[in-house]
Amino acid sequence: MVNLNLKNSISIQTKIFLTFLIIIFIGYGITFFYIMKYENEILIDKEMKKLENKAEQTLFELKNHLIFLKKEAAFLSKLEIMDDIIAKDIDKRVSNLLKKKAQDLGENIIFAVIDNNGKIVASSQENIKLSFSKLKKEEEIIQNFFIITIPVTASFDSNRHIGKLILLYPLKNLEKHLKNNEGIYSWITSDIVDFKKPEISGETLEVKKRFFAPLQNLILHYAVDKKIALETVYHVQTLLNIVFLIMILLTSIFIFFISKNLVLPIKSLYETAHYIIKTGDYNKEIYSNRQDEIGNLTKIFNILIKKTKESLDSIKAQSKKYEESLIDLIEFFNTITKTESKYDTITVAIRELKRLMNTQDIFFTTDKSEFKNAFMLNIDVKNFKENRSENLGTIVIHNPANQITNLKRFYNSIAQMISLQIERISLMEELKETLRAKSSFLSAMSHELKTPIGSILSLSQYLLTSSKLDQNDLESVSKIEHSANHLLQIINDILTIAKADSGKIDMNISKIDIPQTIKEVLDILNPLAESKGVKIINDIKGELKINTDPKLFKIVIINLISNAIKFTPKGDIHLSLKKEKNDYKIYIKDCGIGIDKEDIKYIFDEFYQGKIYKSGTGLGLAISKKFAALLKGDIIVHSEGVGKGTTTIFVFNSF
Amino acid sequence: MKWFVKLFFILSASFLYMYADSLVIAANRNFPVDSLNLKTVQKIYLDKIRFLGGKKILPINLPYNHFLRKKFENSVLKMKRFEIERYWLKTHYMGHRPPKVLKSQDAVASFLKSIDNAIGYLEKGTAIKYKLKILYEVQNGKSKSKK
Repeated sequence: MVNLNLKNSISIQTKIFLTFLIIIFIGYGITFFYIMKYENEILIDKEMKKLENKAEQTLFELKNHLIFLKKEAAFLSKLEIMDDIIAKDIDKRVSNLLKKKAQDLGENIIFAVIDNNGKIVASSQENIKLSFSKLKKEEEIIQNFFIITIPVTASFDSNRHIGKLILLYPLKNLEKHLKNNEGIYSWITSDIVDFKKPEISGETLEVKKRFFAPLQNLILHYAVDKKIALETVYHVQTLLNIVFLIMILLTSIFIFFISKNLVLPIKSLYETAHYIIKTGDYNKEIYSNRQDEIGNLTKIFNILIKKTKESLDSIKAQSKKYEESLIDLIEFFNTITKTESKYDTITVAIRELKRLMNTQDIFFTTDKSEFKNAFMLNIDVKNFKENRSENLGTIVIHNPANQITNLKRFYNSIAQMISLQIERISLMEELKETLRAKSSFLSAMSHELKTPIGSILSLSQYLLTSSKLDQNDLESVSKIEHSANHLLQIINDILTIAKADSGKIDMNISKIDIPQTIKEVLDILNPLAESKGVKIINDIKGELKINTDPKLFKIVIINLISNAIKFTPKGDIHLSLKKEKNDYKIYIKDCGIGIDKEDIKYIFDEFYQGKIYKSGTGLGLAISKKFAALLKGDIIVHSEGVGKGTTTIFVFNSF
Repeated sequence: MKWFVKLFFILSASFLYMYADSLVIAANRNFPVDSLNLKTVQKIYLDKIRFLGGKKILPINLPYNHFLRKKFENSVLKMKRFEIERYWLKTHYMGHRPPKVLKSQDAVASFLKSIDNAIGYLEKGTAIKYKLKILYEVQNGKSKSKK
């Protein structure tokens, strides 16, 4: 992966340049290697062969020269004048002939004629120091001479040997036939004669050739100046170097154009893409009049941008449409929820549907027949009393426009909404009815109960005051009076609750001073507290005037504080007031018996009384809570558990 | 001019005749015969006889202008120069060649000394000097056989 990243981090321009450079280097390397190794070898081989050929040619020429000399000698030996050998060449005719011939041939060649005894009869040169008595072969080398010996016979009798003609060829002469020019050197080496070696400078290619017999002791050398021999290679190398430099130059120029024509458009593509990503502006376009791949890429890129823009626009339009239909739906639901009767609901639903669907062909029917090419919204409503579903009817939508996808689900949710609203309405109606029934029952019952209890109370009080009864009867009558009193209190409480529930409590809002009111309440309750040995510590001081119902407020406060006194066997009760946001909170903290955590849930229920203390009607807190609600507030009860005291918070608000 | 040449020859001939030694036909001591008559000598020198005693005879001549050759032609062959030339020209086509020529009397003598079957004409003194066998002798223009 690292390697890949590295590869990718190299720019295209560099890559192309490197690629071309590598190709050129490989080509150059191969060519250079080939020329240095093979061409060199081939040329050297060729040159060596050339030298060999030259050497052979030279040897051939030398041999021919010697053959020519031999022929000359043979010619001489055949002359009739050779018969003079018999006469010891007294007339010097042979000598003269030899001298003339030697002079003609030049090259310091010496001719001699010997008789059968090996004695020199005639010669082209005086004072020949050689002894010819040992001559055995036709051709041999003695001292510095190549010697050709030809027997001479009498002209008149070819069987008669009269002597020998001897040709002495100085070996030194061979040198004169060698050519040294144009960097090609040739020379002879031998143990016999000191030949001259040409002065050679620098490295050479050399070929050695042994002479033909009987000159086999002589070696012909041919050498050529290596610089001259390999001139071609050196030329090619120079050419190659120049070509290499030109190639690099051309590549650089080429890369320059590549970068201009290939990399720059790609760069501009990249920059445009970057710009679009950064700004989200899809109106940008790249201009290119090229017809090649880059041009195609640019075109495709532009098309891509255009398509993306179109897609984005259509998505935006779509989402706007969805948003609108969602808003429509919400509005529809909102309107529906405001209806208060079944008939209203269906009428409003049809009106809204007409608006939504933009059609007038919507109506409600209880007819169960099918409609063609229409969408049927069945309004099924649950009857809670009988716990079953019943069909109210059908909303028929003719030719529903296919504007909304998932049309079926959309219509189903509308149908469900209508059903829910109708169910809600019917539930509310039922609830109202129940409440009304409860209140009227309670007030009726209270009223009906109050009269007999009034009679019981007044009669029992009369009996108590008449004092004609003995102690036991008096006690019984006292119990009757007490129970009737309790019953009356219960009935009054129930009546209060019923009034509160049915909203029949009249509120008289006026400005009161809370600390002042608290003080008044404490004045009433202090005797009760003192009788129990409980001390009330009031921290509510200063001035706080709010709009509220002073009667209800007082009832609640009295109720709560008396509760605290009631459930506190001994100790203090702290009163404090706090303002939180718009709410005012009065904290009533006692150190009484506390409330079981299980019981806290039920303490506001009507007729509920704690497990520990069982006196009172059990309606006090329920009434207080209801009054607190009427005063735009609430009552909250905290307790850590049984025996840990209770904190009751009365929350209220200004009207 | 002709007369001058003739005069010169006559004078020289007479001079030689007066002072020169006598002309002899000589050969090696091993030559197969001991003497020759004039006719045989003539025939040998005109290549009419090639063998004597089973051996090939090799006559030796002297150069063209040698005084002995002239004397020999006059007194032995008894032919004129042009006659001799015409003879050799005529017989050339039949395979006959004029005798071998050596340059000097000494050369002839030393040649005869080593070649058994050669004959040559020399002055008598020379022949004796080289200890050659004298086969025929010409005296004072008259040829005389030893026999």
